[in-house]
Amino acid sequence: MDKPSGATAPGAIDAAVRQTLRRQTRSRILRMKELYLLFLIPLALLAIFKYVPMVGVMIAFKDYSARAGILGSSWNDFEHFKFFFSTPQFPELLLNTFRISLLKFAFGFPAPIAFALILNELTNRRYKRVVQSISYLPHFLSWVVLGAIFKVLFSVERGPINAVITALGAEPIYFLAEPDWFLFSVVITHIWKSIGWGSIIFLASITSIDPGLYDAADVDGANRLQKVMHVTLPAMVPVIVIMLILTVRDLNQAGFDQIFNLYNPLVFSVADIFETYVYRVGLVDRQYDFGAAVNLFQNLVAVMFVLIANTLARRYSEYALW
Amino acid sequence: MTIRRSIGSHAFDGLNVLFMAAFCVTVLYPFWNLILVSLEGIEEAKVLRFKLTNTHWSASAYQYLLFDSLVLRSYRNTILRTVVGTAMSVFVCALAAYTLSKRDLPGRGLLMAILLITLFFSGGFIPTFLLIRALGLYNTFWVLVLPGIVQAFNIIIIRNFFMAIDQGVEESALMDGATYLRILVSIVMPLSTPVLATVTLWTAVSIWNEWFEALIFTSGNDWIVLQEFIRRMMEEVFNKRELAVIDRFNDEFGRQIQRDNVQSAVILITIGPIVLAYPFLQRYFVRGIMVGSLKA
Repeated sequence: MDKPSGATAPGAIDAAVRQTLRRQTRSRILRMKELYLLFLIPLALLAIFKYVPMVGVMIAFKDYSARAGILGSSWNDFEHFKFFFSTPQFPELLLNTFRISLLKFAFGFPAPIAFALILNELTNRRYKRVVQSISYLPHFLSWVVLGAIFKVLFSVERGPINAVITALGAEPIYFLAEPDWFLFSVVITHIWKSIGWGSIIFLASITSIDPGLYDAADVDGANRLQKVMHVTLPAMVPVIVIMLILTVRDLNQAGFDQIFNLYNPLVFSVADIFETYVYRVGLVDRQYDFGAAVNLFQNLVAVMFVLIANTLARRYSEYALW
Repeated sequence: MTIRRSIGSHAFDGLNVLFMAAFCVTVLYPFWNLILVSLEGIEEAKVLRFKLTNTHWSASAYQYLLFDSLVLRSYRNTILRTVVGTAMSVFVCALAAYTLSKRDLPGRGLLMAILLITLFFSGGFIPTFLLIRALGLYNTFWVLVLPGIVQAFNIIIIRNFFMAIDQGVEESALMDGATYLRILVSIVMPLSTPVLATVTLWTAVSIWNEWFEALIFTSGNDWIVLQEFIRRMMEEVFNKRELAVIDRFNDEFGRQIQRDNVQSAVILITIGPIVLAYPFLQRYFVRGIMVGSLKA
C-alpha cells in the first residue's frame, strides 16, 4: 500500500503545531519566570486582604461562634437573610439608601455640567484658572474633616450660617438634626465637595470643540446663549452619556463616608443606610454573622448595578468596563 | 471674538464674575472660619454671628497642639503611615504593573482577572475585620499600611504607561543579562516618572485621608491617626478626655483656650499639608484624572 506522499494527515499537523506551541510557551515561561516572581508580592497581598475575606463571607450563612471560627461554625439555612428581610429596618434602609442616592444624583449630576458651562463663559483666563483651582480643593479633603467643618458651620449656637438666618429674622435651622433639613444638607454638601472636580471632564470636552464651529455660528449671527445651546451642549453629549452611565453604577451607593460623618440618632429615620447599619449592628454590636449577611446583600445589589451600567455602556457608548 | 456684543452679554459677564466670586467665597469661607476660631483669644464672645475677623487673637491653641501628646502621636502616626504606605504601595503596584505589561507573558490574562475581580467583588468589612484580628494585626502599625497597598486602579494606570514604552532598550538590556527587576528599577521606572508622580500623589493623599480602616482596625491610643482624632473629637466620651487635657493646659499657662479653638486647630494642621502642597501639585492631580478617565 502506497502512502500518499507529501501530505501528512491533518491530525498530525495539528498535533505537531500544538507541540511546538507548547514547547514555545514552556520556554517563554522559563525565560520570563522572574516576572512571575515579581508578581508574587502583589499576589500574596491580594490573596490575603481581598480573597480570604471573599471566602470569609460564608459567615453570612452561618451561626458564628468565635470558638469554632468561621470554618467550624454551623450553617444556618439563610436564617440571617430571612430575619433581615422580615425586620422593619429592611424596607427603611432600602428606601433611605435609594432616596439619598437619587437626590444626590438629581442635583449632583447636572451641577458640574452647569458649572463647566458658565465657567467656560468667563472671559478673563487667569480668573477662570483661579476659580477652577479653588473649586477643586474640597475634593482633596476627607469626609471626617468635612463632617467636623460642617457641624461647626451648621451649628445653632455659633454657626455662621444660622447667624445669617437669624439676622434675617428667621428661626435658626437644625440642618443636621431635622430629617428634611438633613437630606437638604447631604445634597448641598455633596455638591459643594464635588462640583469643581466633577466639572474637569466636562470642561475638557468643551475645550476640545472645534473653534471653527463657533466661527460658523458667528457668521450665522448666533448670540452667546444660542452658541451654548446649539454648539457647546451638543458637543458635550457623548461625555455626558458616559458620565451618566458611570453614575448608574453608583445609584445604590448613598455615600457611606459622607452619611457616617454627618448623621446622628435624631435623623436615623432618613439617614440610616445599609453600610451605616452594618457598621452599628455588625461591628459595634458584634453580630458579625448577621452584619456580614446585610453587607453581602448590599454588595450583591451593587454588583447588579455594575452589570447594568456596563450593559448600558456597551450599547450606548464605546466605553465599556470590560 | 465677536466684534459687537449686546448689553445683555456684558451684563451676563459682569454677573458671572460676581457669581464665581461668591462661589469661591462659599468654598473658602469655611476654612477662614476655622482659622479665626483656632486663633480666638479667650475673651472672644461666643455668640451666634457671622465672623469676618476676631476681636481678640491668640495663638495658644497651637501651643496646645505641642502640649497634647495624643495630637503629636496622631501626627507622627499619620506621617509614618503615609510615607511608608505610599512608598510600599507605589513600588508594589509598579511590580504588578510591570508583569502585567508584558504582552507575551503566558497566563497574563489570568493574573489580570485575579486583579480586576477585586474591583467588583469584596468580602465586605466584617470578614476583613475578623481576618485582621485572626492574623494578629489588630491595633498594630502594619494594619494601617498593608490592606491598602495593592490598588488595582493604580496598577492599571501604571501598566498602560509601561506598555507604551519602547521595548528596544529593555530587550538589549535583557541580552546583556540584566534581570527584569533591574530593568524595571533602572530603566522602566525612570522613564515613567510622570505617571509614577501622579500615582504617588494620589496614594499619599488617600492614605493621609483614610479614616475607616483606622477606625475599625485599631482602638485605643497607640496607633491613632489624625483623621481618627478628629472623628473622636465629635464624640462625648473622647471630649471628657480632651477637656481634661485642656484644663491642665489652662492651669499651666493661665486660662487661655476652649474646646472649639483646639478642634479648629487640629483640623487645620490635618488639612494643612494638603492645602499647602495643592497649588504646586495641582497639575499632577488633574493630569491623573484625565489619564484615568480615558483609559479606565
